Amino acid sequence: MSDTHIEHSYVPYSHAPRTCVIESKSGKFYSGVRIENISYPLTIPAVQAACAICLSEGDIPSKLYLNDHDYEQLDFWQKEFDLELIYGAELPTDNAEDLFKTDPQIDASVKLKGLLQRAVVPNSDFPVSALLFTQNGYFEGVNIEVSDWTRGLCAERVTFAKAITAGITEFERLEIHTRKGQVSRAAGFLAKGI
Amino acid sequence: MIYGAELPTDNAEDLFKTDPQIDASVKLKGLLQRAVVPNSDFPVSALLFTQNGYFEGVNIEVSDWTRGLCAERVTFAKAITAGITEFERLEIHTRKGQVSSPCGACRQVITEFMPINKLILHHADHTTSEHFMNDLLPFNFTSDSLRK
Repeated sequence: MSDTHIEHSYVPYSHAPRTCVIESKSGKFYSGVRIENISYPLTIPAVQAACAICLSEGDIPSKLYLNDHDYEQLDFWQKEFDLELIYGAELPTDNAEDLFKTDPQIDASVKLKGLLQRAVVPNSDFPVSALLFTQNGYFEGVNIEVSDWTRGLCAERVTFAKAITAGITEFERLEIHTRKGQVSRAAGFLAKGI
Repeated sequence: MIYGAELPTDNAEDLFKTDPQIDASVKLKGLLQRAVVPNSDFPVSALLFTQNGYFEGVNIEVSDWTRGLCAERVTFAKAITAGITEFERLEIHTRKGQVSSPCGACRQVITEFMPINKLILHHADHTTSEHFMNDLLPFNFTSDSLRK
């Protein structure tokens, strides 16, 4: 990826594009862009997108690269992960992970079941996984929960955050999986007991 | 911030309205002027009815778009805060757009508290339509295995 990603922002309502890049504890880079919604409160700000994408990859946010703009939700995510903020005109988007998968033949059911273990669900113990398919490949998503329940992101929206950030807006289908049954119910019950 | 064991809840406003005969359409139109919509300029109003009265709601926008609340959810915030959880119907109005219809997030919240009740939508062209919640959010997210 050699572009800045900012033009991938979906901002038809504010016309105020935003992008940022998370550097994770393992040294990887994850971009995020602002993704607005006609129901304004459902908007995904760039910082939330980048952090949720990082977390969905089993990684922990550590540093945040920003332009000199106001960013929604910045205070929350900075505090949640003790982020080091690095301001500058140039963001390290060239180093950002390419999260578009192109395995020729995947078994969606097997992939979805495997993904569940990457869900970050300290509050609900209810992991969800999703695969957003284009004609040529797909994006993986899991649900992300943080200390503030209202800042979490569902698996489905994580896949869209990855895709829109990557500049992909044409989709074929979405596949979703949740784990149910005795085992997960028992785990929830036990967790409540603890 | 004022921390303390005792909160001044005794002084809290009673927002449950019991006017015997209101015209929902007139009330909804009047409410629009209370909408706080610096970002969208798209005011929405809602009335959440119980058997004996109703709660008023308008949409609220703040600097962080994701911290705003739709008119529908404001009515539920008032009702739940007041300890009321039995509802009869929800009426919604917007003065712009093709139709007045609750967003997906509101549908999920409405379904939590009144899964089969009626919604009356007051559209910008002065027509109304009636719907049932289970038609507006079919096959919705639900599970008995969430931690409780």
